Amino acid sequence: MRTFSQKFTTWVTLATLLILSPPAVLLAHGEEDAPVDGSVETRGNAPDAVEDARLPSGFVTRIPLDEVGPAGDGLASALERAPGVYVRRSSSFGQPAYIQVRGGNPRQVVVLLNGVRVKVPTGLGFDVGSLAVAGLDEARVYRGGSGVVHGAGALTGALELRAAPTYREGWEVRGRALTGSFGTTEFGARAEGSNNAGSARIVVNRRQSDGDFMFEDAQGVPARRVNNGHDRLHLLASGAWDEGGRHLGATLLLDSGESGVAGPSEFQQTFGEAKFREHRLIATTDGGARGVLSGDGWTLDFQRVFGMQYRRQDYRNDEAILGGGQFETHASSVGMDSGAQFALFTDAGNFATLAFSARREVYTTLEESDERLDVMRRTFGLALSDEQLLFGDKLSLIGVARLERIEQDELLMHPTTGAIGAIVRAKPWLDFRGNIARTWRPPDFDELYIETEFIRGNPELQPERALLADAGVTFRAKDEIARAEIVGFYGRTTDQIMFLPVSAYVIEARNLALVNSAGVEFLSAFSPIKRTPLTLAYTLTEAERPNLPDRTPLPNQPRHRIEATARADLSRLDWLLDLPKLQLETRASWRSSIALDNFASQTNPGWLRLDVGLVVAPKSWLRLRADATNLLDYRRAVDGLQRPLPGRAYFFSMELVAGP
Amino acid sequence: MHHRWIILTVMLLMLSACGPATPLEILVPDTPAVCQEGASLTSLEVSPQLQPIAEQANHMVSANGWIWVLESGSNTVSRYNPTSGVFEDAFVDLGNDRGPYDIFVDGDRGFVTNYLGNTVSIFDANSGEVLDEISDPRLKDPSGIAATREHLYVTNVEFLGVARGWGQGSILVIDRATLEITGVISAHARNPQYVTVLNAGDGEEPGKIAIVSTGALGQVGERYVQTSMAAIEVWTETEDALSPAKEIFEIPPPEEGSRVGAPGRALVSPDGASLYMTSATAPVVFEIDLEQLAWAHGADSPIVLYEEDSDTLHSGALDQDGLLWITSFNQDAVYVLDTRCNEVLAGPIPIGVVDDELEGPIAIVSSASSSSSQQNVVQPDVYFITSLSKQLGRIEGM
Repeated sequence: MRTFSQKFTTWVTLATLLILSPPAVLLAHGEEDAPVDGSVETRGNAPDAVEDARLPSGFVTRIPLDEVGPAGDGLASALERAPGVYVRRSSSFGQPAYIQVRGGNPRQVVVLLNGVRVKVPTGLGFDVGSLAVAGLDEARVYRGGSGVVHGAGALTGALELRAAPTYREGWEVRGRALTGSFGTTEFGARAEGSNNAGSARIVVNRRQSDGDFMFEDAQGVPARRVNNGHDRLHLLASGAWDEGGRHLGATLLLDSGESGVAGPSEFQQTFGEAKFREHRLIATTDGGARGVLSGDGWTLDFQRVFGMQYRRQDYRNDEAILGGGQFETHASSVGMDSGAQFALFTDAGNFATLAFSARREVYTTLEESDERLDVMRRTFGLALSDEQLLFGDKLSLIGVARLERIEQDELLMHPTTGAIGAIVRAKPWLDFRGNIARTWRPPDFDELYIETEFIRGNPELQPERALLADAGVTFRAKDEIARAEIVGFYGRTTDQIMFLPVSAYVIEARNLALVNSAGVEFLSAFSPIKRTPLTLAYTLTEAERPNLPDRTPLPNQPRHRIEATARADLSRLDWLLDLPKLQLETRASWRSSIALDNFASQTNPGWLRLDVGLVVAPKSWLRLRADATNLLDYRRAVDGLQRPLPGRAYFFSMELVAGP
Repeated sequence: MHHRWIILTVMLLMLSACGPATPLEILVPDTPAVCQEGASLTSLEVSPQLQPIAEQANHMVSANGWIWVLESGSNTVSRYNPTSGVFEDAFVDLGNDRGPYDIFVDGDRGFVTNYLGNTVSIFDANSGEVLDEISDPRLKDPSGIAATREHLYVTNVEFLGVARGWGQGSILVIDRATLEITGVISAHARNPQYVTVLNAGDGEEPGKIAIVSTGALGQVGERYVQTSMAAIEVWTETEDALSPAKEIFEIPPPEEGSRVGAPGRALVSPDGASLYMTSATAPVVFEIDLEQLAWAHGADSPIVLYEEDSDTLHSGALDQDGLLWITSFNQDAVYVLDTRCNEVLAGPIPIGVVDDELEGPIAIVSSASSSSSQQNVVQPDVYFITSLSKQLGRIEGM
């Protein structure tokens, strides 16, 4: 149980941020000049709060991906900019990383691409570290109960990736090359074209890195990371058509590559030959029509989505850790997901949706012992959501109910999830919102059935259930030049599943009694001075298991996390070369210490990462970029036991743009 | 505005500066004697979280006034001083990819077998500096290590992989003075994990050691059991270092349904008359009568600690009062066996902090400061390590 002092500090922090934030952003509002040439912006690539029409009171953060610089580590780095999110990395750019939300774990976050679920229900979670960003437009992080609209599995949140070409008339071709530390090179090309009805885009990206960075191990001994490279090919093609109230979109994503599987830092040689190959093909299509039916005071829209995913993963270590023999595993998965949604709008201020979904997921393993595992899961869902606008749209009451049927071998589950929420629009620039949600996660395939020498699944597992609540305030200044959001959240998960030692010889999946989490999220974007947009995200997360001694934190979950970015836009200034683009960016990321094991006996201290980047476009067709990451060259950071993260790194890129 | 940011900053600092939780303690009342003229225990205070240690700690010894903790997952040796309470984290850094398994501290020098590295590290016991590392193709998954006056013995487990199991296994004989390898002697049974010095020897009396081969281990049904012959070999040194006089005590694989077997490290009673071994698969203790050179409690009549049907794992330490302290991995508990009459004096003594998760006590030692009064009331000072919760804990008489 949390102590009184912990509860007190949580809520005092919430209250303090609440008191502090409006004057801070109001000041920014007052000082902000209206943009002259459009170059001063607080939107741009800053994360922003958005609404999902199915649960508009939910807390969802939109993160634009198009402008993610080469300095970061792609998707993982972009997602870190959202409050409530923690990205757990295993190594450097291109190696696996996993997103967790509000004290949950990566398994409890479902991941979708254009509305199609792409997270396979097995393994540690969806790997956001090795997936290239190229061609993706934005990520939406559904925090807490807002993820309920994505169904069972979204226990603590959801991540939706979107790839949709923008509607800019004309055509454009870009070519980009990058080089940098740790033997990193990247080549990419992108072509897109649009007319007034449709657009298409194709992106190809090849990235490779040796990943051989220096670090300091737990004893302070300098060492080099070995077998940490990767080589990945990423191809994304998408098209969209929108005319006469009807729209149609399609996306094809191919992601393929091989990476070294670096072992724990104390046992790198033992894993010196371990390799992981992955091939992933995802196809999605979505479409719909506005006003398919309408009458006096009402109209009905229709949307549908369909997608398929094939993924194959192969792991091979020619010298296994014990006995020196060869060890390999192979797994493949095929998934199909479809959904249809009717949305009804009435002049009486009611917005209702009725959605149907069907999904089929097949997972096959070929283990070392030739024991093949074939599992198939079918999920059917029916969801109803309704928003009622009251008091001249000043109050919204929202309800979401979702019923699913999950068939899997002899298992039959009927998860019912839902949420109720409310929005009070006190002022045009100020609203209050809150939600209570019930979420659910069925056990993953490996949690149920894995059977190796030392690790066992457990067919008797119960699903995880969570009761989630959040409440917050959103402030938006005139013309969106300043905004802030502050949210308090609480979560209570029962029957959380963990792989735990049950004897000296066996680790088995077990349901734990309870996991509690509570905290505060703060997100703000404003410009204190002209041409310098700032963003600040802060998250306080207190996550614990009551069965452990007081104040034992969950592993891999920092209590505090701060993410701040600042940009100075010096483009088109007469006194400074009048360049089409000249931009300086800085980013500071700090997290407090984290526990590295269940009992918090091993910890990694808090660390501050500073990144800087400079973008120069001497001509409209040429863009140069230089970045330095982890400028302080801190080399003792880990997100997991003996999983070192890289020190200072430099990257340089050049982009050529052709177009009318 | 400034004062608000200052308040916020101060609050955040306060939040992050909150101190650690108060150490947990478990109290156990006085324990009366179970043996005639046997020892009783004072009330005990258990401190399960005396000191965090590194990952996969697997063994500990008491020597030179320190408790030495071998941390296999971090390739380090840490040490704790029971008198001063000083803990020296990673006192010895053995280097990467070593996988240390056993430690023997010999005055100013210490020796560590590196299971994965196939080497033996020699370190300065005063500074922690690694002085040398013996590397030789005859070292094959080195595990146990101990020394008589003349020789250093290293057991080779020779694990060939999950599919192929264990090889023959052997014992490497090393000249203690020159650290040159004298030769290799085949083990009587597979999986020779441990070697214990029974008598270091002197000019007149030859050195004597006990080697424990646990036998192959494997899963039979739902349980892990010994699947090939196990053996305890008692060697008496002769003039030919490679031809010691041997006494063999075998433990056959258990019959179907039984898990009695898989003997652990040999422990010598204070009077040197008996040898005790805990079991890696069953809640039992084996005893060899060293005077009669016969099983006192073999596989057919072991000393039963408790009844349990699931997998078990134990390790033990014999203190100067003849009390055998035994960790029970799967129970997060410690038992005390009085070897005067081979009865359980105390236990299960809970040493964990969580009810529904294993913390995994894996090794235990009795410090030199354990004491007994004239009324034979033992006031113990015992230390244990847990491999899953990564803690050094203490059981102290009050």
